[in-house]
Amino acid sequence: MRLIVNGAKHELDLDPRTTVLDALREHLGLTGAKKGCDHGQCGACTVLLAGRRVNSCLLLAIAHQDTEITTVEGLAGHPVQQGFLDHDGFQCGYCTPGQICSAAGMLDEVAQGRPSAVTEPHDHDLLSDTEIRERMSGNLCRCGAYPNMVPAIRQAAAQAQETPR
Amino acid sequence: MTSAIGAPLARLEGPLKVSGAAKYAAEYPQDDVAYGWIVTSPVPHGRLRSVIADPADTVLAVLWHGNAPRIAETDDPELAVLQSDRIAYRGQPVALVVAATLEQARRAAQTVQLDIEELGHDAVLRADHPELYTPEQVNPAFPATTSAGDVETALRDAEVAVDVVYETPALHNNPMEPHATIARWDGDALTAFDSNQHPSGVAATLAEVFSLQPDQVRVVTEHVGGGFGSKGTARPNAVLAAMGAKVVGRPVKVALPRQQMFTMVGHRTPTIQRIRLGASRDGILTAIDHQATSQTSRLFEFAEQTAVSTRHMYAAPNRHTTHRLLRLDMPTPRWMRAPGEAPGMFALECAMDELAEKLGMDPIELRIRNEPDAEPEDGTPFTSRHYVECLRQGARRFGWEDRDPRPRRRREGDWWIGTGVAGATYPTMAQPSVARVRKLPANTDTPTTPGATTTAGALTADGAPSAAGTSTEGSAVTAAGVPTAGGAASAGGAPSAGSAPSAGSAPSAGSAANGGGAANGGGGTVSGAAATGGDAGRFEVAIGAADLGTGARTILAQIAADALGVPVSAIDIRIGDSSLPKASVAGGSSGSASWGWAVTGACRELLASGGDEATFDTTELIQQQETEGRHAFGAHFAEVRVDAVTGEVRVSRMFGMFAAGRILNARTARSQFLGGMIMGMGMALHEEGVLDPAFAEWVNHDLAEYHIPAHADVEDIDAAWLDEHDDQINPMGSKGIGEIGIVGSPAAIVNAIWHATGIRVRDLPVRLDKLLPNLME
Amino acid sequence: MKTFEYRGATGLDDGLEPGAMFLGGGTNLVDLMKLGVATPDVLVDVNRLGLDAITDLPDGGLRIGAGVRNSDLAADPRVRERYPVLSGALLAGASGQLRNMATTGGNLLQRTRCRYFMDATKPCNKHTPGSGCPAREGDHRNLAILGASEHCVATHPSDMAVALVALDAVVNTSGPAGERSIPVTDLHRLPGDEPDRDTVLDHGELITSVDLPVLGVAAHSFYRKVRDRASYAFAVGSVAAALSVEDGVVRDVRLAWGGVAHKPWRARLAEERLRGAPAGRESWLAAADAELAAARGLRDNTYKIGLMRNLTAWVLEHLS
Repeated sequence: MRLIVNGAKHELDLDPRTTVLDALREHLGLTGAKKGCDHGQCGACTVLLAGRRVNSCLLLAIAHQDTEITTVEGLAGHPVQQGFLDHDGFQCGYCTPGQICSAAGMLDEVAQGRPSAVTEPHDHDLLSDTEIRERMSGNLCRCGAYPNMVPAIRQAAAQAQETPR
Repeated sequence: MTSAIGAPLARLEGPLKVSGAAKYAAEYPQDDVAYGWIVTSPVPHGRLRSVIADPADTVLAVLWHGNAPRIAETDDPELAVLQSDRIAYRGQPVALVVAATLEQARRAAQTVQLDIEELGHDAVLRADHPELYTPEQVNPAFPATTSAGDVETALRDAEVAVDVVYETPALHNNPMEPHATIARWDGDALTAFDSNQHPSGVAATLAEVFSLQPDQVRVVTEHVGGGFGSKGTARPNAVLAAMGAKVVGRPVKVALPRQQMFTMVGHRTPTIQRIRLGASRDGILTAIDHQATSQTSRLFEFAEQTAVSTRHMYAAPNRHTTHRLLRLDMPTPRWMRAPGEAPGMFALECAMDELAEKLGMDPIELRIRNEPDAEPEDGTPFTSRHYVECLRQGARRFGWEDRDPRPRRRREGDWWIGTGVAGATYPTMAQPSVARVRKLPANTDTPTTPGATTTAGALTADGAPSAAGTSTEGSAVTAAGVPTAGGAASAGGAPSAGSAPSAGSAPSAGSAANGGGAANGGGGTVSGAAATGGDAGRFEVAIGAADLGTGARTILAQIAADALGVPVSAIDIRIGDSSLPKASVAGGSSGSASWGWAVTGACRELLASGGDEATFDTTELIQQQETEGRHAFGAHFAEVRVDAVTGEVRVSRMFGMFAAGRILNARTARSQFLGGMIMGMGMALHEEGVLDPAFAEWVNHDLAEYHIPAHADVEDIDAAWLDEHDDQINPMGSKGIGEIGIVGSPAAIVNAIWHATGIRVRDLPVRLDKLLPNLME
Repeated sequence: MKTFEYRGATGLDDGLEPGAMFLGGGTNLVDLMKLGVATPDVLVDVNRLGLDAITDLPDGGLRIGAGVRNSDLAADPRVRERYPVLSGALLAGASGQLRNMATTGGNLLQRTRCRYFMDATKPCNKHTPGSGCPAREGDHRNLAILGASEHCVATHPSDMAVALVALDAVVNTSGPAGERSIPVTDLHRLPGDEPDRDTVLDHGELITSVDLPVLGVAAHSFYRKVRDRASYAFAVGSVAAALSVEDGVVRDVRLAWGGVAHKPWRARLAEERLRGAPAGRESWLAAADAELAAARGLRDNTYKIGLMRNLTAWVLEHLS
């Protein structure tokens, strides 16, 4: 079996039952993606699959051998990380890598003009507070660091606009 | 030199956390690690006759009481895992499967055959249960009942009275990181990488369980993904990992699946609370009665102190508080953030709102009129109490002034809108701890123990934050989990005025508490530190504390810096390891006070002695302390809107005003207050362990069905604090802040829902189905 | 999770051997496999069959490939413009991450969130036929008020499917027995005495696409979902509706409900009442009442009757 993670190809001998999350954490030593619920109910395991945010706990590794996977370790230097540092967008830190991957994926979705559940037909501010909160709702935080994530993500969005990656 | 204490210093471990390099318990690489999966009882009461593994499964071991190694008993019967055939609740560990892979272990745990003799069970708490009893005392060591004057007569004679019953459901801590342990034996020495709130305590417990000398056990707890009480002591995962590792001769990892977090790691007990208040027409309380009923398991008496906060809140000549307990075939309740205070103050503060309504009095005014001038029960003076100031300043900042007290008056479109207030209190405690400080040789910049040390200076070593704040080339941290000097995180490590949350959020009080230009002071201290750190020398501060996201690591560095008169960057802080000097639990909002006291003592002793190393033990000092009259206070304000069509509730605004002594770090403190308030929102609106009595189980045992607030639930929220000085409590003058945010915030929301709709919901959570039938127009 | 053999599907009519299941986005199936509720021997991955396009049909409708991800479908400008109720329903469901994974076909076939079904250690007629339904006496606050049976009171959890039944969408399937088309309204079953069967599909029959017909009224449509928190939660009740009103009279209407039955519930009785009726609150409530006449609440879910009444009136008013 093979996985492409953060630009590197890995040959692995895995059980067909192994999820991408367990492959990362237990076989590749990439423990940035977290296991919070293992059922797609918390978002701590969020990674980017071909650039799109997904819950890696529900992906079977065997079914995703040819798609580029990006974990928080592969997002080093992403403006979202700096935003979280500058605004104290976390406490215990366990949901944080998932939040950061999710925010990175979310900002790309916004850049593509994709709507959310709170997008009004003629509302073009896809990064209003309400939009950020709704778009980030797939990532639970039990410490309640949400209020600080909003400015963190807005700062990252502004930076991303200034310096396209 | 500007004080480091109070500055909004960014978390020292922040770069590790945002880059994914921070290591949590289940993430330490181990050669040849095996995986343990706990098999739990599918029945609430019975006898386990046998456990038979499916031969089709590949396992290393299946342990149960019929073959598990014998371990020593501790004072926690839940840790006597696999020692007897007795099943006391559904979800209790009855076997451990160990296999070479996670997938094999999980499957084998599903297919294992349990032969159980099932016995009858009782799972429902009710106030008229014949087996209710009054415990000898309630947690941690309070009398179960207190009484003064004649409550019955006073209530009978009261001009105005309320007599109401409130109910709260079982609540589940659900830290984002599930409990996990990797256990490894090297001969007779045990190393446990364990997610907990008390590495020193967990090590002592494991030593006791496995009959080892204290120095044969090391517990590593560098980063903890939240605990909220559920990780206060060793849980079955730690014992089972160590037992499994002993049996299979390999390191064993046991990480609980989320579903098991609802049973074996504790929860907040359901409560039924009757509150009776009597008052004169001008709102002076004549009687307070608080009768709390809660449950515990057959295994262990856990007596939550639900009515204890009522003993400290309001003056009244006739008063009574009491607790009754019921043993059920259910899991053992344990601590959850503000155990006792959170449910107890929900009831008291909602009842005060009901009394204010009956009196036709502003609920803030009612509280102010009943402010005691000393402890209401025993007359002990308060070391400091600024509850009234919190109510007044909070009201001003929230915009309470022009509130129409009548309910169901404000409507905007489909929304009924209302506001509510409630008081908050939490005891100020400290527990014995030991800290050690060492002067390091000049130019020491390599941590002595990689992975257990965080160097403040390293985060800022490349100087002032860059304007853009862009990280450079992902060099923030090394794989070893040690921040590298010159790393990317410098901007985060050195808050600028603009990014210091408290500067904007607490203009009148909060920033004052930080000595005026808090943001500037903090920023200057840290960003200037790199230049001066070398001059002053470097110091290693070591204490076996745990940082669950509280900011403990950062705060202890700040405390040490001030005590030693050096910048924060000159401090190497080592925590999260039981091999360090013994620390108390990160619980009871006492961590910073307890550990900071020991750190301060060690630093002062080092300076006084002129030596290179000093150790300080606070045990005697703390034993000499008075325990009464020490509390933090606060006031919560909430604005809610309730959809007239659907009954959906949204919290438009929350504001918390606190008087919690000296605030040690304006940035992490604000975050912790907000986090507590948000958990309080969950308690008010979302959270409930839904019991099916037939199975004696909370059937919504996952994060899809046990709702905690999602991001979209949290709208406008802020916290601020008074500049409170209290030199009687500890050398820093700090009170705990980890729990007071969840005390009172549920009541403020529920009172606001009444104000919006005219509906009093007295059983949490307030979901739409409890409102809708009464909203119909 | 039981171990399984994994292979990629080679064609649309591959079918499935006994004990095999199709794997789409996996958001529900992998979840259930971990819980031991789904125990396939073989997983046949249909993600590389090229079913991921949204194409215009000659008559002006849309064909949605069964592999189209929920997020892509929700963002498609044609869907946003012509079938806003569908986009709205999709965006109301799950989370950004899950919508990037979940497929159109898989969303239709997702299984109930009933807490007894989701637990392999408890009785449930859906996962273990004949074992009983503890929900009737136990926890059912979020279960069915319409079309339930003594054997099962589960609800279908999909938001998307509610919009599709309102839009008269049709699923196209392929299998060893050939191809066929089934209106989405007929795809899902009521539980009756076979609650283990969610749909009318045969074993091995693969949903290949969903057709959205030309439907003028659909451009004026809306989805409203009520849930226990502001986001990332299943519906306790939802309404999908399309409405056209001329001269104060209802010309055309489509109405469907979610979170109330074993299937996405097309409210045909209400629609009948509405066609030709004067637009206004009285008509909306009368229509909802007509549909709800058959509703039966259990101990803890009777509130849904009032909720659906209110919600239906609100959505129709919003559209009128």
